[in-house]
Amino acid sequence: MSARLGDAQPGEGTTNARLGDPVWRATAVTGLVLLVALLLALGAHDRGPRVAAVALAVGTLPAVALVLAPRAVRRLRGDEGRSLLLALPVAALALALLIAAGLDGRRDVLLLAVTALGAAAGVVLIGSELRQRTASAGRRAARTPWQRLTTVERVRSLPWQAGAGALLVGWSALVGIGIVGPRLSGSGIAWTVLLIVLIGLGALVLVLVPLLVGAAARGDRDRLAQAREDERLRVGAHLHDSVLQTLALVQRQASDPAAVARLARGQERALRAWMAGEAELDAATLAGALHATVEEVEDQEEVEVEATVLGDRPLDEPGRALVAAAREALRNAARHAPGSAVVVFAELSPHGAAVWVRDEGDGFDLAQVPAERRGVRDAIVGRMAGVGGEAAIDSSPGEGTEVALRLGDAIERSAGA
Amino acid sequence: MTADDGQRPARAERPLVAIVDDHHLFRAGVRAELAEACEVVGEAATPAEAIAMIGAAAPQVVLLDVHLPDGGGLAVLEAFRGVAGAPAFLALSVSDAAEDVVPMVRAGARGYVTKTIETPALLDAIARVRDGEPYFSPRLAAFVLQAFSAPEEEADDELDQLTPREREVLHHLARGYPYKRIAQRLGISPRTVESHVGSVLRKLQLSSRHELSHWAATRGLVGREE
Repeated sequence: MSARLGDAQPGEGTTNARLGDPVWRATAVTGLVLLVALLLALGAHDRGPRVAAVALAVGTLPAVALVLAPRAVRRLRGDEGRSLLLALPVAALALALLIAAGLDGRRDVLLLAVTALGAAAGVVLIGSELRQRTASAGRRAARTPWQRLTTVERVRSLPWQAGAGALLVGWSALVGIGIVGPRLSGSGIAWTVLLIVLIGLGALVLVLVPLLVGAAARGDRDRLAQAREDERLRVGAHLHDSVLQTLALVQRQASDPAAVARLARGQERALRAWMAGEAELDAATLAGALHATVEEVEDQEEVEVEATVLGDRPLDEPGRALVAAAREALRNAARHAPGSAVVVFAELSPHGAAVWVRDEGDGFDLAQVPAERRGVRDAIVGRMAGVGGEAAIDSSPGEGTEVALRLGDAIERSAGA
Repeated sequence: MTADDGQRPARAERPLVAIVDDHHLFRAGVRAELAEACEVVGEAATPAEAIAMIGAAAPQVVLLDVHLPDGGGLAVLEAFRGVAGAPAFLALSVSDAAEDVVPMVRAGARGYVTKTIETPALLDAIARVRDGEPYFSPRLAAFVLQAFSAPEEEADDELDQLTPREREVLHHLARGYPYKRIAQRLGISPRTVESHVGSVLRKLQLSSRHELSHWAATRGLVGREE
């Protein structure tokens, strides 16, 4: 329910969510501090470069410590480090210049450091905007109901981050040119040409960045629409092959209630598995193989099995033995407890597996099992022992029967319990 | 499935039941099935109708479909959350997917059954929730077990953890044991089994959302996000 509401009203909620987010608050505060420090530094440079350098350092350090460093660590851990990798050399240059300014006290070096820092921040901003825009559309498409239920939707309508980034880069370029230009030797014309080229490039960046961002967003929308259409076709094809087919069969066999019930049950099971995303897994995993086995026994023995499988693991040799033992146990339950429901519960993990098959039948006294049933029991126990597993049969007259099959760490856990 | 063979002292009066489902045919079918043992006092097809009907007809048990127009069964549960004298809700759906089952129970349903349930089991479930007990089908028990199977390091809140006994009881429910047999196997009284299940239900309704997102992640429902 909250998911649907969340989708409908992104506007106000995101502002509040942002103000409540400590990371966002820290970023805003350090940004303000940096801005004030920059103003101070620019105003104070007449009083001596050292004062300005101190003011700058005061502003810069929290920005680096609180915002850039944590972000860098987080991004570099994921695969999203590109914008930062771009900005890091510029930031390193800025730091070097800052140190140089502190050492030799010339205000031009200081200003260069400021502009380099500004450019670095601009690159980070542009990169982060592009990343968010390209990632969010893909992520929305991949959402499961649970994700929609538990994650806060973040929607930005205007590329303000990229705009601010472009402004910062442009400003840095202009200031940098202003500082470096007069020092360059050579004729005034060469310098003017260089200036024009640089300003032209800056303007190009200003124009192109919003366009690129817009194009990326549009591309995402198109891909999303395409994905929806593909999904609709896929669902349609599946329903056609399965549900419609079964409905046709049901209409033709309407006179045979048993057949209709069997068809309906089989289709129901298949549809559930498909909705749970299990159809693709097929019998390649232990969970898929268990479901397939339950289905097979249900059809052969005309018994109803309620099977719940938690977790999964690849289907290996021990897993196949487990499935075979489970099939044996299910058949046994179906034959010796006719009419009673059979419950299968499985807990699977990469390190182990435990499967319980339980019926509500008459049960029996294990000590007085006739020889032919002992054979079945040996088939179950022997199969599991053959792959290093374990099988336990728990039954007493009038109390039903439960067969427990275990592999891997499930054996130790049951021994410890 | 967890039928109790009628061992519990049955209350003499027939339970007053209301059916909330947007499928007319399904309501008619359930009404016919329940006619023997229950008094069907009301029907509704939407959450708004249901809220008005429940106020007027005062049923003891409401069979509540999960997928309703305009907000689903959750909307009805929200409306009666914390209301004194609210009826017991038994969620009823064709779906047995965890993402349908668990939110309904967390929002206040005392039990969850699928629409393919046999009539005797449905009657047992109705009687159980009418008497203030939870009704966990084996599958619901399995899902709940998984919801609480968090790693050890998250032991911050007692509500996020099951006691070993509660876990054991839930595990037996997931394997299809009726209360009576669980009590025998664990050497406790059926009443104690019921109270364990009740406290599991309470924890499920009160625990922090963190655990359940963890649960969703372990099921592979949630992709890795930064």
